[in-house]
Amino acid sequence: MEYGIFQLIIMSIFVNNFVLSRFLGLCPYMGVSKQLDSALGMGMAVTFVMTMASMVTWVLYSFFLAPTYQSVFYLLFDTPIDKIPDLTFLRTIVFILVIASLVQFIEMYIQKVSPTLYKALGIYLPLITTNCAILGVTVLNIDMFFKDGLPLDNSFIHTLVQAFASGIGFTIVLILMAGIREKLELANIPKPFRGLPIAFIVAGLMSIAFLGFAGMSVE
Amino acid sequence: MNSNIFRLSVILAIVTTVAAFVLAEIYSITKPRIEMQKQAKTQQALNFVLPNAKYIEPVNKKIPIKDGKGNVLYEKEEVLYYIGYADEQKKEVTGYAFKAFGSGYSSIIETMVGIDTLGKIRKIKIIYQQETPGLGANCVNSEEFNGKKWSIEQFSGKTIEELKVDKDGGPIVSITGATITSRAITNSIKQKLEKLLPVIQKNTMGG
Amino acid sequence: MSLLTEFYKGIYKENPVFRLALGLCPTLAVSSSIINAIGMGAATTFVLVCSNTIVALLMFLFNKFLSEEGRKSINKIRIPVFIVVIASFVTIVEMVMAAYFPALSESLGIFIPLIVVNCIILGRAEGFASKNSILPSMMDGLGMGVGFTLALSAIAFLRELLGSGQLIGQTIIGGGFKPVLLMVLPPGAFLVIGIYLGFFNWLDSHRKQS
Repeated sequence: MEYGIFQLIIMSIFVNNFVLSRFLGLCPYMGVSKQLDSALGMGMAVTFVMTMASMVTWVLYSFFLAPTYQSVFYLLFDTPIDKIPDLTFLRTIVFILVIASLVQFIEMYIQKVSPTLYKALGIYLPLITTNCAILGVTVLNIDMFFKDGLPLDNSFIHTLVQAFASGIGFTIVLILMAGIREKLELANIPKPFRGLPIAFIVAGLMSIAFLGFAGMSVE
Repeated sequence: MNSNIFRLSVILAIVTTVAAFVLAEIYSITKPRIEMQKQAKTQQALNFVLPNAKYIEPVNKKIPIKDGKGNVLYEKEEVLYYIGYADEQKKEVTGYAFKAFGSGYSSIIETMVGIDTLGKIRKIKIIYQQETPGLGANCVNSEEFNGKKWSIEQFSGKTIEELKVDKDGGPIVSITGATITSRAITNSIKQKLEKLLPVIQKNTMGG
Repeated sequence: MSLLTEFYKGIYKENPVFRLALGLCPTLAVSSSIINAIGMGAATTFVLVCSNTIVALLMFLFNKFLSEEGRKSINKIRIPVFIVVIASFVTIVEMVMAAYFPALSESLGIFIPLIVVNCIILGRAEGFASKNSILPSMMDGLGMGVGFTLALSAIAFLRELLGSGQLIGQTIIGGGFKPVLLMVLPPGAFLVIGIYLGFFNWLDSHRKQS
């Protein structure tokens, strides 16, 4: 309600980092973050989908799902205010279908524009659909920037900023992780911990570092 | 090629429509219950924050809902605040109550606040929050760390000037690791109180 | 492959969290208390069983009543169809939880709708239910769900106990025990899972030796 834009950006990237604080976007984090360039490519793709999906779902929720005076049923079809159908229960299905379609388009686009990137991302590209960060940010936008179905002040801008900044935060952490893991490949780690276990422990240590941001007051 | 995409879309549309119908049915069953739960929760919160009131009455206000051009579309009636009376005869006011809304970490936090006739906080109760489980979500409880304790009880007896978290120089102890949640609750109460006190005073003078 | 085998494999040998490394997001977020862990586990198990069943049923009907060409086109659309099926059951869980278990629903927050993108569910729908018959798919869903719940609870056990001295809200370690706050915070989640994963790897290689 009272978020400044700069405050929101800093919060989304550091204080409320999607991976290390909100636990969203972990699967690709563990899988793709072994090499720096694919980490960057994945991060950018995820950021793009997060931003686009947030915009589309914001519009769909405001004008189609929420039974308010902004609903198309009221504006275009003149349904009386108290008879507008409450379609908010369709939120999950509509949002995930939007995301799945967006990822499909991006897949086709990347395949045409940069076949090398397409090959490098491999199976992780369609898997962006199941990335909790994307559905997570769209649901978060509604929970944070809507009240009783109506958007709060500057809701759309806040949604856009939060989505983009969270994606950047995700990308930063992904790249950091990739850098560390590249070095880890050469280190002498006890056998049971090689691979996934040590990745988690490193993530834990990074998370402690990011906790330092938690007390940050961005006024 | 095109007919193929058409056929695929039809299949997907059929599955989605069936799903939507089933869900709509279930929603019509659960929605009234969810509403009822909300009402019960509000009533429970009111009774908690206004313990001396045997009769609680809302003061409503008609809020005009305008469209983008400023034309009034319709008027919506909303509760501005609640008055707590000692009994049904409404002769003695024991206090007032209102809902405060604050943007927290991952949700809008709703707090029910009860104040005495002088504007000092009596009790608060968190009605709704979806903050981080195990962290900000503990705002509804008491949480102690290193001798410092966050609790909703610490708000009792505070005046409007004292509504600041420790990180902002005030006496309210925040939840360790959940500054945003603590601050949202504290500041939302302060802002709503600042807005409401003059209105309550005006209403009591006039009426 | 008896039905019981389909059920058991989800518990240890193919435990979705500790062996297949699936469903990590909710695992980390919700494992700070045992009640949350069991609630999330139950919700996920419900969706798993229902979606596996419907997916197996749909594939059975498609394969039975469609021509060769029809089956080829279904193949292209199957993932979105699975997603709609899963999303529907998740929506049912959302609504029922909000109506009958409001405290748990508030506790689990956005992770309830996020059950949709829990890789376990789409993974099993695509990897098992679409290729097997209805009853084994049900058992597979049940086993994976229970395995997931057990994994969540194991993590929650450590995190809640060490992080707050409590279990299921009851104080277990009292008097003077300074809880390791880090445990209920995000880092604690990562560290506990990392240690468990390492432990299970070690257990595995140890078994292979003997």
